[in-house]
Amino acid sequence: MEDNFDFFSKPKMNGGIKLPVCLILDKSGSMADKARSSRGMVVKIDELNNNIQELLKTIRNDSNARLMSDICLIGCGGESPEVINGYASVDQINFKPLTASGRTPLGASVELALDLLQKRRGYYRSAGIEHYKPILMIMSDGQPTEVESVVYNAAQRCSDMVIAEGLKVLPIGIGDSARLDILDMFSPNVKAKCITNMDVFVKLFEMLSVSMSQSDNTVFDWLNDQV
Amino acid sequence: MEIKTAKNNNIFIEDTVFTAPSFYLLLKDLFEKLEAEGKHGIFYVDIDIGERVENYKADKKFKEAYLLEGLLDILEQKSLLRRIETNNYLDYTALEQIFRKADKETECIILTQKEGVYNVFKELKNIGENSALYYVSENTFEEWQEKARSSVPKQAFYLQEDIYVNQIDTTGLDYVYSPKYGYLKIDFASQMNGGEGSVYRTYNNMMVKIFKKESITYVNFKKLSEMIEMDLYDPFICWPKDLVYAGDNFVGYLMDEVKGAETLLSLRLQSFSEYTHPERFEICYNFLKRIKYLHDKGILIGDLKPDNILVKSPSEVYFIDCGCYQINDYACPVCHPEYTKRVFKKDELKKQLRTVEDEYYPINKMAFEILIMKNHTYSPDNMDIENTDKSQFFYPLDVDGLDIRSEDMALWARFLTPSMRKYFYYYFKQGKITDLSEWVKELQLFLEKLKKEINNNGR
Repeated sequence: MEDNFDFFSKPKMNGGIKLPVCLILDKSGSMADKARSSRGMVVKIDELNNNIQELLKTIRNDSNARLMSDICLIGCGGESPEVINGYASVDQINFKPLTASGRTPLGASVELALDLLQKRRGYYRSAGIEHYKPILMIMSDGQPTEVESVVYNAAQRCSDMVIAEGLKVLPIGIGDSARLDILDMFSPNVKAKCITNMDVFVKLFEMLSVSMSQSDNTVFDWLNDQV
Repeated sequence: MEIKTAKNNNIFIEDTVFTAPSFYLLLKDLFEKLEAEGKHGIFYVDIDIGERVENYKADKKFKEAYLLEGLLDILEQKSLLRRIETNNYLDYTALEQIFRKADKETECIILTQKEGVYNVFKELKNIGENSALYYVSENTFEEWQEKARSSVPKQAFYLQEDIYVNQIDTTGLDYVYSPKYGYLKIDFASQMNGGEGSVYRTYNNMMVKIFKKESITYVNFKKLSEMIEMDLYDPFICWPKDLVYAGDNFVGYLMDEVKGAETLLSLRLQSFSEYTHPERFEICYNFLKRIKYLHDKGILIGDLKPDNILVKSPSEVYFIDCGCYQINDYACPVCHPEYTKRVFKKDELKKQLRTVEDEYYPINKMAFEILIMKNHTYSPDNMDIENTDKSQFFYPLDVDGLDIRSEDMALWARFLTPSMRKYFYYYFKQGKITDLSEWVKELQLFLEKLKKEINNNGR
C-alpha cells in the first residue's frame, strides 16, 4: 500500500498517451532519380528529405501531435536497414538529409521496424503509458533486392499484426516503377498507393500529422479517396 | 391515482421521495388505508440512507434532513422499516430477491422520483404479477411510464438533396460577412481543422467557423439560425453568435474566442501536470455541471470529446464548437470513434438523433479520464486505447486490501468517494446510468468537504 500519496499535490504520472509512428524510408540508389512535380523534374530523395523535415516541423507546431507522437525513422538502403532515429519525441529528433545509395532491403527493414515496435510496446507496458495503435508507413520506389522468402516472411508477420489489430500500415509507392503488388503484401487492409507527382507528398504528410494530432483515420481515409 | 395494494405490501422508497412535496401526507393516508383494510406493509430503503441525511445537513438543507430523519423514525418505531443494499440505486439484486419471494397476496411497489432509479429498477416490473413503480406528483402517486427520453433513436431533420443553399468552395476566403458584426477578415495563421470545417480567429475576440463545401447545408443553416435565437446564456458555453456569409451564401458562424486556455486533450496528454488532484476534481465538477445545464435545456452535445473542452482554470471550463450540438430535431452529424459507444453507419448521424443514453458514454469516459487520468479500459495488461473492448473495466468495486502502488489505483481506491466508484463501475460494467444531477451533487459535496479540510489544516 502506498502511504505517502499526497492528494493535495500535482500528479506524478508522466508519459500521457503516445502514438508510435515508424517511417520506413527508401534511400536506395534509385531514389537519386528524378520524378515529376509542379516545380518540374525533382530528385526523389531530395523531395523525400524536404517532406520529412516539413512533417517534423508540422508536428512540432501542433501541440497535441507534439505531445503524442513517438517517432522512429528507418532507412531502407545500402546493404541492410539502418535506424536513423530510434523511438523518440519529435523534439529529440535531429533529422539529417538522407543520401540515396545501394539496394532496397525492404523485408529486413520491416522486420527491424516490427522488432523495434515490440520493444517499444514493452517499454510502454513497464512504464504504464497508454498508447494508440502504432502506424507503420512504408515508402519505397522500387522492388526489394532480397531473396523472396525474406520479403514473404516479413510481409506475413506484418499482415498478422494488422489482422490482429495491433498495427496500421500505410504502404506508399514512390514513382512509376514502385511495385505496389509487393507493398500490398504488407498491408491486408489498405491497398498500396502510388505517388508519381511529388507534390502529393506534402498532402500525405499533412494528413499524417492530422491523424497523429487527433488520433483518427484521416490519413487512411484521405489515401483511400485521393491518391 | 391511488397505489394498488394487496394483503401484504413490500414498498421500496428511494430517499428523495421522502422530501417530495406532500409525501408525508400521502404516507399518512397509506398507513390509514392499510390499517382500515387490515393490510400489512413493510417499507424498504437503501442501507446508506443515513448518509443522505448527513449530506442534507452538510448542504444546510435542514428541512429536508429533518423530514427524512423524522419519517424514517416513524417507520422504525412501527417496526416497519428494513434497510437493503442497492449500491446507490444501481444494483437491484437484494430487491429482486424480495420481489421474487412475493406470493399472489403480496404487492411489490417502488416509489421513486428519479428517472435513473426508474431505469434501473423498471425490469422488476416484469417479476411477478403484482409489481409497480410510482412517483409522487401533485399530491398524488403516478405510475411511471416510459418518458420521451427513451433509448429509441428518433429521426432527425434531414434533406437527401439540398437545393436551398449554394455549396460553394470556401477554401481561401479572405472575408466573411456577419449581419450583426459586419465584414470580418479571416486570420489564416490561426486555422484549426475540424470534421465539418475550419475555425479561424477574426475581429474583436471572435472566432469564425467556416464549413467545408459538403457541410454547407440547409439543415446547418436552419439549426444555427434557431440556436442564435435560443434563450441560452452561459459565459462558459461558446454559443453561436451570428451566421456568416460569403456574398449571399451562408458559409459558417461566429463564436467567442477563449484566450489562455488549453484543451482537455492537451491536459490529458500531459497527465494534467499543472493541476493538483483537488483541482482536477473541480475541473470535472464544472465540466459535468455545464453538460447538465445543456441537458436540462434538451440540448445534447453529440460530438463530446476532449478537443472541444477548454480549461483556463479549474473553475473556468469552456465548451466550444457548439454549432454542431444536437438541438430539437437537428442532429449532430459528427463523432469521434473513441468517444462514441454505438457504432454509427455512414450518414446515420445525419439522419438519426442521438439519445441521452448515447451521451452518457463520453460523459463517463471523460469524467474518468479527468479524475483517474487513464482511459477506463486501462489495466496493467492493456494500455492499448484503440484495440480494446469499450465495456472492459478493470477497477474493482471492493477496494479493501487493494494494491494501490500505482497513482491511478490510489486515486480510484482512496480518493474517489464510494458513490463515485459505484457510478463508474456500474456504468462501465453494466451500462447503468447515474444521472448527471447525482454526479454534480456528489462532486459538489466532495469539493465542499475538501475545502473545509483545507481551511482546517491551513493547507
